[in-house]
Amino acid sequence: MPRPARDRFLPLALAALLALTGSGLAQVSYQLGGELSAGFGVAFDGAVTVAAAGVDLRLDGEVGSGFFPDAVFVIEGQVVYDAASEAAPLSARLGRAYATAFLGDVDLSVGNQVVSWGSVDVLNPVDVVNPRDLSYPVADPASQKLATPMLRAVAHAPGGVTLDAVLVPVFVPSTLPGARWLPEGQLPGELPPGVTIVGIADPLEARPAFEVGNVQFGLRATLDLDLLGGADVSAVYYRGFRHLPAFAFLPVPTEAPGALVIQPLLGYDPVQLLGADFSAVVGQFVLRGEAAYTFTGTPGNIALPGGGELPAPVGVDTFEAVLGAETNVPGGPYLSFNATWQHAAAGAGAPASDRFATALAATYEPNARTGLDVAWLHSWSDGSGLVRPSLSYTFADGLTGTAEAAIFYGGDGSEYGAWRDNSQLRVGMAFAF
Amino acid sequence: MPHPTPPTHSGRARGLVALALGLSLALGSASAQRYATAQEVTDAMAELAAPATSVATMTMTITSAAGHSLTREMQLWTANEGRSQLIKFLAPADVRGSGFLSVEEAGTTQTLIYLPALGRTRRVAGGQQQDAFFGSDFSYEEISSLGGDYTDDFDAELLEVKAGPVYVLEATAKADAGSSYDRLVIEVPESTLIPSRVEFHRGGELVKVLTITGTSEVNGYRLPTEIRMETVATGSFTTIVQSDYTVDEEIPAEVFTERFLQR
Repeated sequence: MPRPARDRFLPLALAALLALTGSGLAQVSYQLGGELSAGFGVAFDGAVTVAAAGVDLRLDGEVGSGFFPDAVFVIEGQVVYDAASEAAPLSARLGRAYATAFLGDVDLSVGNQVVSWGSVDVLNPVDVVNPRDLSYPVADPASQKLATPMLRAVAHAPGGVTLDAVLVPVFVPSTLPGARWLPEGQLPGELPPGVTIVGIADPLEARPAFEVGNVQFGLRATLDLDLLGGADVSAVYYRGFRHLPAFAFLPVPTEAPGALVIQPLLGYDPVQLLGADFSAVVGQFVLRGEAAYTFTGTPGNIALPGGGELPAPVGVDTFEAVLGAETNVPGGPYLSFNATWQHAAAGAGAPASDRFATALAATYEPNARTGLDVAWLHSWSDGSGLVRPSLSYTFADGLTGTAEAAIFYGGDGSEYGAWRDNSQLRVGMAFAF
Repeated sequence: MPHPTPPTHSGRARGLVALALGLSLALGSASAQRYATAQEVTDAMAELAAPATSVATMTMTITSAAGHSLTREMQLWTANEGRSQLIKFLAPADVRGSGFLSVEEAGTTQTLIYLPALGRTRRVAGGQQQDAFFGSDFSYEEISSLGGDYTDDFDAELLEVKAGPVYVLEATAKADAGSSYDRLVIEVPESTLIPSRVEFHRGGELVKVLTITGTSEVNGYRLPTEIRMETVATGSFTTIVQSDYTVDEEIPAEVFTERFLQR
């Protein structure tokens, strides 16, 4: 079986970077750490959503002996056994595995990396470089990012200008949510009399191949400003693919009269994104904003197993914008508020649509051990939403317990109301070493 | 990973530096009372030289009234007489790599925090002086006031002179003071001119007690090495132990940048 393109890319890239930093190889310091964790979750309907134990290992270090290292490296791996997993219960994943060489004013990184672009927290229109693990769609967005192979160069220019360029040779899709999270409306609704669906075939997808024309790349330029209590603005361009597929469901007749099999079709839209973001300190407030327009192209055709091709489903142009503010209440919680607007152009037989939502979050740490958080996400377009309280307690250095709930509300078919049955409680324990 | 509540007071890092630098006073050696008034004592404290730069390791132990402790280990870099500061967490493992940077230029302080889990720096605003410093018994206000500049907010009087001699000053908040405390009682040994004990009063009640239980001499500077703050109402206390001091050595300006904060 041929090795995936990403597996061939990584060793080559890391070797190339090590060659760049070869002069410092005599001075290498490193440390090993990681985390042992266990978690259990149960939905309000009684279904166990997670029953997992796992270990994360991390090796990181520096190369060089000066005040600043010549290079740094990180290798992370994760093994998890989740008895409640809808797929294989045992999974292993390579996390970040990259090396960074500091070459004058340029930081050059090669390997499996996570890139964080943008300024806001809830919805990041410009943070599009990495795919996500959406098996738990409402997890902390930062923890959902999947490290992917890339070449990254960050140049620190005079005048507070930073240029951040990424080159992603291999397309890696996001991990889709499990069946519990799929909206029912995705499948064909009413069927003619006498016609029944007897099964769902394995999806056929038009995944971008590992070839020059599919290389993804992006550039973010940031300017720091000595305004107010500090400010920065950034502009972003990205050419790549959506990590979430556009879906279509094709009814396929079987040999039995009136019996259909549903054939899911998945296409990953080629996109070009133009975006901007900013943050600024104004008195006791931090203002943040982010916006991006995504131009959507047409993905390649889907090859059929028996020969021939089908046009892949295609998405539409989108515009997303977020504006937020945060502040610290004296003696109380840290508050943040974000308002989001998502616009989808007309296309694929659907009219243009707009969605408005707000997110309010409060964080309070009454002492060194206890953390209390609550987040409320509400869609003003359909009245649905999510309330998510959580509690963390540090029992000892590195040993932390967490308890959280995700409570969805809204009508049938609404954005979050469709997930009402997935409202759940989760508890966990983690020991970092 | 604890929730990344950003340290949001512009004086937080500066206050921490105050512990390292503001109290870095030259060791005196008087056996008889040298100062007759509170003003003379505070003037003497203010005149003592402080290192231009410093690098130190700080171990902060937060202990509850029940005796349970949490420990944080940090590396601290300061320059420009404390106007540029960088703190990085070394331990425990779940916060390792986190840090914050504070740079004051032209009267404006810019503060950035970096949380590895977030993968990017965040710009934060000036926060509230009474917030706990990383969950400890220190507030940012207390950290800042220990820099010796509390005379901006307080009028000091000499209450008594104990054996040593040790000057006992009573500092009363000025009308326009930014402090949440209305009264401090400060004990200053003449031998070090580093306050050895500070009582923080609010509304007539003793709220907290700070003691400096250890000092050491580094390159001619007398620096505090062990500081303890107790919250009277809860019985909890926090100790900060500073070690591995390096002072007056040039620190590259690049240290106090977002680039180094993320390294």
